[in-house]
Amino acid sequence: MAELDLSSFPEALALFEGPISMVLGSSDAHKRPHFARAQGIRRGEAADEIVVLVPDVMADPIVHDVRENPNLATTISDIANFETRQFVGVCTGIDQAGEADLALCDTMLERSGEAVAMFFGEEGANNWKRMVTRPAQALRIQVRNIYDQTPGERAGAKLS
Amino acid sequence: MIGEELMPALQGIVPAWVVTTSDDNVPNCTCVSQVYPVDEHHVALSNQFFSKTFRNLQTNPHAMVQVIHPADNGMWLLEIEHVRIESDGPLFDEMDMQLAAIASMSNMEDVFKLQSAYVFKVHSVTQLSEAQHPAATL
Repeated sequence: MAELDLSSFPEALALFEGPISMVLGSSDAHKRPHFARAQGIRRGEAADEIVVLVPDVMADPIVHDVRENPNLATTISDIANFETRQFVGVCTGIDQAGEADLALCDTMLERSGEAVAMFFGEEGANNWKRMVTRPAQALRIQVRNIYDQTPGERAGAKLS
Repeated sequence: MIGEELMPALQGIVPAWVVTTSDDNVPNCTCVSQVYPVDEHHVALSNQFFSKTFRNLQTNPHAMVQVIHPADNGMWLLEIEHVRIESDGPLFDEMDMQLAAIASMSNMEDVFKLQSAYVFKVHSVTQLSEAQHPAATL
C-alpha cells in the first residue's frame, strides 16, 4: 500500500500542467551523481507513483545508476514564476515510452517553449523546441519525499 | 578545459541545474543561479539558501552541473568536485555583482543574496549535441 498520496499535494501536481523545465538526478554505487534533462512527467498508477520521461539520448547514465542504486530525484520548475518542487523516491521500473507518453513530451515541450518566448523571444523558443524528445525511457518512481525548491527562504523545505 | 565556446553559458542568463548526492546516496537536483568561471579549471556556484545541495557537499564533494548556451540552447555537462568556500574577496565580490544583475533580470532582487561562493575543480566538460535537433531541420 502506498505510504504517500500525491493527491495531498495539489500545488505540486499542478506544476505537471504548466510550462516547466525538468531534470532527473541519479547516483551510482560510488555516490557519483548523474544528470538528465527530462521531457515529460505524469502520475503513475499507484497513489505515490510518478512517471518521468527521459529521452534515450540522455538516459544511459540514469539507467546505469538505477541498476546500482534505485534512488532518484526529479525537480520541476515553472519557467514563468520559478515555482519549483523536487520529488525524491526510488525507481520501481523502466519501460520504453509509448506513443501517448511521447506525445505528452511533445506537448510539454511546446508549452514550455511558449514560456521561454516571454524571456528569450521567438528565436529562443525555437531553440528550446529543438530538444530531442523521442525515443524516450519511462521511469516509474515511488515518491517518498517532496520538497519545496522555489528560490527563497523556504528553498529545500520538506513538504512530506 | 573551460574553453571560450563555453563562456556564454556561464553568464547566468539561463539558470543552470546541479545534482549532488547525500551521504546515504540520495541524489538532489536543484536550480542554481550562477556557475561562474574562476579559471581554466575551476568554476564557482553561488550559495544563496544554504540548501540540501550545500549540505551534501560537506560529505560528498562530487557534483554534476548542466549549463545552457543562451544563443542556441546548447546543453553542456560539467563533472565537478568541490574544493573550497569563499565568503569574501575578489571572487565573492565579482559573483555578488553578477548575481545582483541576474536578480534584476528575473525580478528576484528581494530573494537572491549571495552567502558564499563554492569553488569546484572541473574534471570534464561535455557538450550534449545529440540532445538537440539541428536548427536546419525545423
